[in-house]
Amino acid sequence: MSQIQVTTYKTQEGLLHPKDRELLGDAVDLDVLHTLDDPQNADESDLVVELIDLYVADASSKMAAIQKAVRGAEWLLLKRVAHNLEGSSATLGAKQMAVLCRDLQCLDSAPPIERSRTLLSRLEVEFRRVLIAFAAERERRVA
Amino acid sequence: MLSPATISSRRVLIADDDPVMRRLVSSIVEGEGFTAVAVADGREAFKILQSDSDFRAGIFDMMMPHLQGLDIIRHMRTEKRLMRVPVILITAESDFSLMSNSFTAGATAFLQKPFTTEQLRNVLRILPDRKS
Repeated sequence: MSQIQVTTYKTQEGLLHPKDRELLGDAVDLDVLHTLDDPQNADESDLVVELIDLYVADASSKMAAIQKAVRGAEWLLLKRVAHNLEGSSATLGAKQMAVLCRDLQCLDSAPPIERSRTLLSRLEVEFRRVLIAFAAERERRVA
Repeated sequence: MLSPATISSRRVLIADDDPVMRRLVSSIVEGEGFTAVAVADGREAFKILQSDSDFRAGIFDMMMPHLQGLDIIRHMRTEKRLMRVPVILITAESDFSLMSNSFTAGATAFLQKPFTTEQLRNVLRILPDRKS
């Protein structure tokens, strides 16, 4: 299983095509993201861009840790990292990502390997969608 | 060491191992006119609190490496100089018993992730004054 490469998922030609945007659907709830905009702060979009950048860097290393934990059957580590990733995902509106992190935390102490791998695959797909959605939102804000 | 009885501090100690949450909380705290002192885990927060009690409040993540939010609160409530510093606990858990344990341990407020800027701002505005 390869480590997630963030750069792969950045949009190459500016904002997403409306069709792609539709495909991404609910990867990131932008309403949630917009609640973090501070009307009292003149640099409101800068904070969200900064949060997106922090999330992408941090979540990428957490995804790698989750992959390693599933491969090595390190369930305590898996639960701790998934818990951590759940919090920041939910805060930035990546709701389905947060749900999948919660599902990983709910695994038994020795879950069937297929179950954990299935959840991991779903999380990897969702993470790609989230990265694309964040890349588009970031571009929109810095444009 | 600064005396808690004579100071109305504008500093807020923030401990969260998640960089996104740390940055977000710091930004909201600073937007309310406080100075954010942000650290990446409970052990760092504990170290600071050993020699510095000049804080208007503490905002701690419940689950952190080395030392968890609840452990810091329990320590603070046994130290006279830290006893009255209000503490907000933040967690992704929605477990009511966890909330109850937090208040029993001495938490002042409990905020569940995800929260909005407005929610944390409101909690900061109603924090009790440590001198009262």
